[in-house]
Amino acid sequence: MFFFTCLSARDVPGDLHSTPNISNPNGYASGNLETGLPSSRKYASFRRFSLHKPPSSREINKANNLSQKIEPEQISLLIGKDWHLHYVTPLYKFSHSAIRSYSRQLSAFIAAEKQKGVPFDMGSDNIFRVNFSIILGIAEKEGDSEAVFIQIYTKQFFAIQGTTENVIWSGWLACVNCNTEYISSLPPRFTYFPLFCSNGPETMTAIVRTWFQKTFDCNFGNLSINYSNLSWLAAIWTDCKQTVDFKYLKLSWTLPLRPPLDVTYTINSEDGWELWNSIHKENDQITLEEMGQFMYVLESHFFRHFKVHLTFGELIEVSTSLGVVQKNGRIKFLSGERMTAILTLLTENAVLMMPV
Amino acid sequence: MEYTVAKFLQKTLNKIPVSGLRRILEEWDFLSPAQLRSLDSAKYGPALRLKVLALCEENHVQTKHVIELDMIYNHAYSTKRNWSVFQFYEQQELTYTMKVTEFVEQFTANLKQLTSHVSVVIKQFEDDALLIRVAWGDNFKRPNHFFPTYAVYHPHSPYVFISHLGIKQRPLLLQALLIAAKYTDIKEIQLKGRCLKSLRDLVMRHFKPIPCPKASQEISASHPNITNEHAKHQAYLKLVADDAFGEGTLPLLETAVFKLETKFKDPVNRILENKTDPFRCVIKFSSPNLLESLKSSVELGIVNGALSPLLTSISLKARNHFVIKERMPTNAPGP
Repeated sequence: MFFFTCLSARDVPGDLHSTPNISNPNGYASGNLETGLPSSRKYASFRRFSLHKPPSSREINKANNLSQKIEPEQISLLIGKDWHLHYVTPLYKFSHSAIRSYSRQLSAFIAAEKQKGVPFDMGSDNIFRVNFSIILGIAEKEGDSEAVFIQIYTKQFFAIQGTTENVIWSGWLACVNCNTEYISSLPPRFTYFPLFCSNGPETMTAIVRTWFQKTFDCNFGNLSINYSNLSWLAAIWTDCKQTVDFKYLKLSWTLPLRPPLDVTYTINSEDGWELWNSIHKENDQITLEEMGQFMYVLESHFFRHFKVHLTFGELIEVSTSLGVVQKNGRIKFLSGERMTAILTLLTENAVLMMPV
Repeated sequence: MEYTVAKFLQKTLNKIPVSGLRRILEEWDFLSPAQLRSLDSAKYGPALRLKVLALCEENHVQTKHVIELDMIYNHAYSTKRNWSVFQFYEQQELTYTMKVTEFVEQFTANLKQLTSHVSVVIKQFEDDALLIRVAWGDNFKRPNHFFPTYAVYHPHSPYVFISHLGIKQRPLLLQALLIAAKYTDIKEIQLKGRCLKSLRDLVMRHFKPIPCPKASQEISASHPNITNEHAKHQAYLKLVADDAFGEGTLPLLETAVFKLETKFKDPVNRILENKTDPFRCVIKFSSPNLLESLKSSVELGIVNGALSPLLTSISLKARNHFVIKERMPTNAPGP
């Protein structure tokens, strides 16, 4: 299981962690809780767990670069923006062929919300236009739905003719390498996009979410990224070093002291790569053990100098010049490198977070 | 941006928080008491600032007046700036009474000799500190009043605190300071922070941890009562914390940066054992009050016993920028 292996990698005897490690991975807690459930429920939850079990290794298809599959303009839509992550339950009666009418419907819905007097911080005399489009190529497997990209443009009502519209909000729904068993178990007429990313004013995100909830009978929730997923991303980005050069790997922690202490740990990319290379064995995949060991030795190196356990705190951000990801569910891609692997990870995380 | 007195005044006023504006205007003493009273009608920030601007223009405000206002603001709100600490070495002649006027004259004359188009204003505040404001220009440009360099110098102490010093202006300012203060050498010590008083306390060793000799004896005692044991342990941790940091308020520092170039050691898995070069990383600690955070880390038991020597040296050596290097064997045979 996921966290168990993670722990065993961390519990390496040595003079470093001489006090017991107090970090309590969630895996332990959920394992204990399950024993208290009635047998039928236990079976159900076990079934669910086995369906959504995170993998112990990850494919990092180097040849499978997004830039070869997707138009460069479409990739550039995703890069450089700070995306706020959400999970979504399956959409009922969603159809890729009806996106033109969805554009009209959502535009009308925004106008109606504005009329209703919903507090609008985006200018009261602005008009909004919505555009739905499909990004072909992000989806990997057969069962994955093609990604849908939504942009909301705004223009002043009394604008002079010829003024260009500004994009004030954008968002996209994606499904990358989702569990086929789960998708096939869905009733007919459901389309599944576990991952929803938004960028723009919060009020607009809320309106778009409401429209989706009303139209497709689905539900949204904020997606946070836990320690192990942040560690996966750190490993995936470090592994990119063999194809693209980047300058640093920065891990940010916050320790619960009075007042709270922030620690940023910036690792020289060449030395980080050398360290990763000595841990990483196979070329095409990263295993859980490798990832756990990578983080463990970095934390021990810190402990050796400062005698402070980073595990007392929380990992809140991983950033490199290829991208930034934060614990509270924010991600920013600065390059298209390994995007498929990262989106697979996020899709998985969204499926796990979704209440069933 | 084209320079006008009005623009300079407006920018300076915008920096001052509304809550402190009245006090600063009173200290500035440019507006008449009647004019100050008339400000009472304007309640909100922007309106208040506009009114002050209009009144100043009425009084024919000049650049030198605004410079004074800027200096009063920077003295009152010195925490808005990031200060670096410089230390003088080897005093040329042992003078117990350094005349402030002499320092001011020497400094101004020297700096003007070194570069043309420079505006220097020095003001002494009640705490004896000299606040030096230098706005730099060059042969073709008038001094840029929007980005001045500030320096704080306490006569009779070998320290000077400088903020916002460009790389080109650095040798000029340091040389002028050296000649005026009659020293032969000046070096930057690796300490930066926002609170001037704390920086001064740290470098002048006004802050000294009080060692508690009892600390090491308490640990071996064993108690059957768990509550008691816990309380004892807490008391012990507090003693260790006080041992490292002393009691009472700690100097205020926001950051500490460690540049580590040390060997990567992994005795268990022997990763990177044959790497001869050091492992390079930079570790930055930041907190609203760094020393207080570190003290609480000992009290909460997050560190094993005492704090690591690297972290204690922040207060002991009065520094917060460190480069840690290890002597590396050239052709490393394994241990």
